[in-house]
Amino acid sequence: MMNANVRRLVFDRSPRGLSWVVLFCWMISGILAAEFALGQGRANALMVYSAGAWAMLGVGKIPAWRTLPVSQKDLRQAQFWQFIGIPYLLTFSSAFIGVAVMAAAGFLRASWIEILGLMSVGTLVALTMGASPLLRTMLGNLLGPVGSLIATSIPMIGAIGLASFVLIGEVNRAVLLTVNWLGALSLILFHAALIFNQSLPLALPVSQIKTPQASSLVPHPPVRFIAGRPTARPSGFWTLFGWSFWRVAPYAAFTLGAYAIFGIATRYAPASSVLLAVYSLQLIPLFSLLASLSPTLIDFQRVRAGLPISVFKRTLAIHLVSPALLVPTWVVMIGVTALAHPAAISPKWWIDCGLSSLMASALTALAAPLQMRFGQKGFALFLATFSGLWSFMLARGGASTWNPTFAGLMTLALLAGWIWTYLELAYGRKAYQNRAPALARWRGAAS
Amino acid sequence: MTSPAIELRDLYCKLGKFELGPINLTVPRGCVLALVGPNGAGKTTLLDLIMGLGRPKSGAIGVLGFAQPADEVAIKARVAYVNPDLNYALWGAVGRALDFVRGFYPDWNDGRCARLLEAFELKRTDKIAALSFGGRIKLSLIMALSREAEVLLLDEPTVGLDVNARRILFHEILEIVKNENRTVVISSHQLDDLERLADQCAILAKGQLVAMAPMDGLLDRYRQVDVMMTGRMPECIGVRLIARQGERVRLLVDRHAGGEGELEALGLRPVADVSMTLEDLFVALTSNPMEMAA
Repeated sequence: MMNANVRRLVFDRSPRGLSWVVLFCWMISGILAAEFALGQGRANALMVYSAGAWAMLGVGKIPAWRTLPVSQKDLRQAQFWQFIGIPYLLTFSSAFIGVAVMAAAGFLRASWIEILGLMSVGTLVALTMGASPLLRTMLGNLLGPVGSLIATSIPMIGAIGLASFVLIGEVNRAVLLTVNWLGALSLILFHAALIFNQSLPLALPVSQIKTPQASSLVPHPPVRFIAGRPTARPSGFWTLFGWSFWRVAPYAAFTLGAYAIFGIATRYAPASSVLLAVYSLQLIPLFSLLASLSPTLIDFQRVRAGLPISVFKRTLAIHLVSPALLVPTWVVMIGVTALAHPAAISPKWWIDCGLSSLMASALTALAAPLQMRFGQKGFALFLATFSGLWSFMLARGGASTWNPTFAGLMTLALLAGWIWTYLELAYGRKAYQNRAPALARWRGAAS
Repeated sequence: MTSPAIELRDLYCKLGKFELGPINLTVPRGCVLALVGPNGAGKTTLLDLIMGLGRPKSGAIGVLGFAQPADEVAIKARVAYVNPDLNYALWGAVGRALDFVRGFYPDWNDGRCARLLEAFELKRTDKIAALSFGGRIKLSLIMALSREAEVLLLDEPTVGLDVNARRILFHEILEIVKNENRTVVISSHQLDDLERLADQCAILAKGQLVAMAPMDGLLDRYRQVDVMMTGRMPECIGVRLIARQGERVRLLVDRHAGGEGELEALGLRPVADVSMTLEDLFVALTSNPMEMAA
């Protein structure tokens, strides 16, 4: 099935630390499947995390794989196993073992169609998460940044939304069929992306070539250079905040668009009682979105350190982005719910949404300094821990988990994240600390 | 008859707005070819296509007598490739990345690898993510130079390297080309180094091969002269306007294209013959003279 080259590529488990974390998450995912078999079906964020993290571990290796003396066929096979085969087998087998153990012990409470739904969702999530990185490369080349956004947001949000819908227990034949069709579509798109990406060079050329100017016999006219310390304009903070906001806004827009489509689609779903739970669970992708903001915003802290803006304002520019994105989220959610299911808007719904938003803000606030301190690895572990806790929490009681203690803890986490960010920027790594602009003096061309 | 190291016939590739070629190029075995050109000229794309990373729209690529893409595996087994975009950080430590790569190459030389690690001051336990940019290039170079590869495609191998590391690299390249069957293609912007090291030079601009000749022959072929003239420079074959200051005009004259005869026909007499380096030639061939002439 696999020749030596493919085995060497697929079973090279690097980075080893993270690989073990992801495998452990899959094991926990099996325990959640066992809980599902007990009839307490709830969304399994850990399954989504495991499949997504596994795909991301593989995507960085492909350029190096392509330079090795391995045939195109073997390379395609290795990518299939890395992105689709292994995540699918692990997701499916962990769910199957969990359910089988419960059945053997006589605790099987879920119906066969619900079990089938669970297995299908596992397939869909694994396929979508596996296809997404390669689709991003393909659509990015065909459609530019919009293509990357589509490939990043729509399939993941769709799959997670549908998975939530199935895992809360509302499974019927139509939903099952949709899930499986989407899985098949993901597989087809994956293969298309696999073949297309192999026709691309490793580094794509710049789209517009700018030729340098010819050297002149005349020396360049002296450049006017104002020596001394640049002064911060009053609008410096707002420029920084606006830049951060617009950088992540397209991702938010796509997520919200997916919410809207999903929300309107659920208008035709059977029971409004189930929809209440669906609307709470819709916030899961929002957490993922907000968590993904942290790497985006942290990436540029080294550059920002050179700007004449205080640490306090830089902290604000990072952390005001998530509340600013939550406002349009609220507008879309209220709008969609009011249009599609007016009865769903109840005091409980308001509280759930409010506390979910608080949790999302707290998550982002903590993730930012965590990444600054411990890098990508720390951030990945944080997401894994969060996904696991979130899954267990939902499995234990869903929205009823929201209580004042939890709200208090989230508020504390939010404040801690803000203060920690300030401390990291002020006293943490040298690269993040404010650097005074170097004083320069123009000495003129002749001297 | 021994086949050339690299042979490109009417190679054409289109990626979005960018077009490369058609390019016809033959690189003999045992030479060091300098591939130079401005940013975005297509150097990396060309090397990628030779390595089999990507598919051209048309044309033929031959490496050591093998044809791309039919003999892709055989070519990759005989060619070493260095590119700054290759990142091995996911393998964690230097040693782990080396162990992963060496398994694919029977011609891997452990002794040379250890010597290069020492020369480039890298340890097997070093974390790749913590290496500087130059450190990562060194790792790629160690992977390429630890093998008995017959062709080395080095894309920007000197970027980020300190002076010592650059000298080690050039020393290793000279050792490699002592063997007449081994060929090195280097793409770089360090023109001074290339002028000393390379014996062939190819200049790419806007996806086109504008010059390809032995290094000495290339510098002999062109002449840089200053002439006095008023008015616009007339269009003439083999003469290219480089710069202008009032009535004094600097021209690039292509001797092979009859540029000197054209100058005489126009009645332009050189007032100065300016010595030319590879850098001067590069600027002259790849810049846009029309803007200067206006």
